[in-house]
Amino acid sequence: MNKGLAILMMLAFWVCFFWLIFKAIKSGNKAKNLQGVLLLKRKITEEQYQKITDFEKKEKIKKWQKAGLISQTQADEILNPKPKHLISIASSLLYLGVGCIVLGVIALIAANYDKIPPMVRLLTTFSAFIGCNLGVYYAYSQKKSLALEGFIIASIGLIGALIGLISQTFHLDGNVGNALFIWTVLALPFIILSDKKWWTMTWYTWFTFTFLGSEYGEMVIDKLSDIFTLPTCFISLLFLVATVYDCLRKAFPNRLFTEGLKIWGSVYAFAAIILTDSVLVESSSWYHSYDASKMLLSAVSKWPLNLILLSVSAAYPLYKLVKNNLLRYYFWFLFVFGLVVSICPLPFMGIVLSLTSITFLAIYFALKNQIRYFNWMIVAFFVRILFAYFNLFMSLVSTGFGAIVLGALILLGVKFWMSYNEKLINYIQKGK
Amino acid sequence: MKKIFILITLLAPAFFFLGWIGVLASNTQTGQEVRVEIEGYDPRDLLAGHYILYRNNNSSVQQNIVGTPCKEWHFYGAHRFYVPQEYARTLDTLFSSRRRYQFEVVYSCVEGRKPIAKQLLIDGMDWRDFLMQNRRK
Repeated sequence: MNKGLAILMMLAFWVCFFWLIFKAIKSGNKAKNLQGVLLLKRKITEEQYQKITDFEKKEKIKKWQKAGLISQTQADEILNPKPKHLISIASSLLYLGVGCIVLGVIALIAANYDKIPPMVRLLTTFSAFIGCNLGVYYAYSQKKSLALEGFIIASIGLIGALIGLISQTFHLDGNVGNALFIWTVLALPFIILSDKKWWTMTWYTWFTFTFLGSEYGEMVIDKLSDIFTLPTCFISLLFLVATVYDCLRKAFPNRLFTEGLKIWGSVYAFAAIILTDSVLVESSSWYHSYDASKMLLSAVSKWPLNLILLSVSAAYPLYKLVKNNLLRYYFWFLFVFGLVVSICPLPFMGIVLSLTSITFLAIYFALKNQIRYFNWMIVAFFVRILFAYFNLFMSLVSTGFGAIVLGALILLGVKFWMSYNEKLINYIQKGK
Repeated sequence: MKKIFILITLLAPAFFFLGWIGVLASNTQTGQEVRVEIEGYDPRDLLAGHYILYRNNNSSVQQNIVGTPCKEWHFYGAHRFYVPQEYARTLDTLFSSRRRYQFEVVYSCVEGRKPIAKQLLIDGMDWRDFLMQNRRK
């Protein structure tokens, strides 16, 4: 089978697979109340659903107003909110002004203005940075949104300026990717304090790419095929970020950051599974070269320190942070899986991870009595085995014997599914 | 309590920089000095002209690190020495014609750490003094 076609088919398979997962999650989230259930079962229309929800909201606001919890003005603002603009004119000018100042500072540093002694340059820039930090604190505590934005931009810009200045003063010759990654990490406290959704999402994207481009991710992208080796550090990065945020979230209860972390974490973890599986298709010697122990632990290279870090970073923060049950259980599954393979590397890692993930999801859907999605998991399991068969016995498929075996496998799979589908669900649900 | 916690977390990057600068400054001041001859490298970089990109001469490294805490592999690869913009072109020209002059870099070596470049020498003199002297001539 042509390798490019195999990769395309694999990608198409996984896109459909995860579309189903997200549909399941979405449908699960909607049915929180009676009108949600009615909407799901198509008993009421979307318009009717919205009317009922609005009516309930108005009743709640009236109750709060009667109890003196909110004023008439606040009630009006909740019920009739003003239209939001993405970026106000004042914010735009603020970004322009602060950006000019920060770029000017960086340009002065890049010119390596020798008339000022290096330590004086360092101390001056450092003092400006401290000043901006205090400005962030003041604006945050006084709830001055515009000033907060300005000080945050200046602080983040000065972090980059300081990294450049230190490199210049001490003639450091580090990797640019490392510098960018450090810059992104040090910007984290400021991002958490911000109230702009697009800043948070940009930070997550920037953080991912700078980590992958730095030496800390142990994967420097030199060529396109390197991207297939990246999944070995994905999940460890997710766990570390969740740990850090869990330590900070009591002081910085930023809903945007939590929501962003959930979305980023889900996409990140699932992308890791897809890319891990792609290694199977991409490389013909995967079962010799694929390093199972690196799968979850490549951010730190020493064992058993890896196990300790994984335990600390994975267990508690993910359980607290991820509210969606499916994702929470799936992360626990990955955690246990990672612990097992870090102790005893398994052969055929790619297919083992795929099949165990699908099995986990099938069991979850069976327990939740979501029969349709359970059936799809069985199909996914079976199709995944077929793909493995194609890759292992590529040359045999083109022969008559290979085609007969393939046909027999498909028939057996259909027979199994038709005969044991309901029994399997009942068996799983009995164990609940 | 929460405000103090927020303040400490906000200042965490500042503490990081202080620590980093402190370590580098301490290594520069207290480390053992090693003088190494350098060779040229073709810089194709956006910042070309504001630093010299060079390689250390291997035989000079092997000779001069004996009895120091430096490891040979620390000196592999390309390195940078930052110079002010106004002198960049002159130094670049001099460095291109390095067969006439001996270029050396003085490193500060500390046990367990990467050596830090302290000084650039041309014919045994600090590069600033060398340029001053040649201007007079």
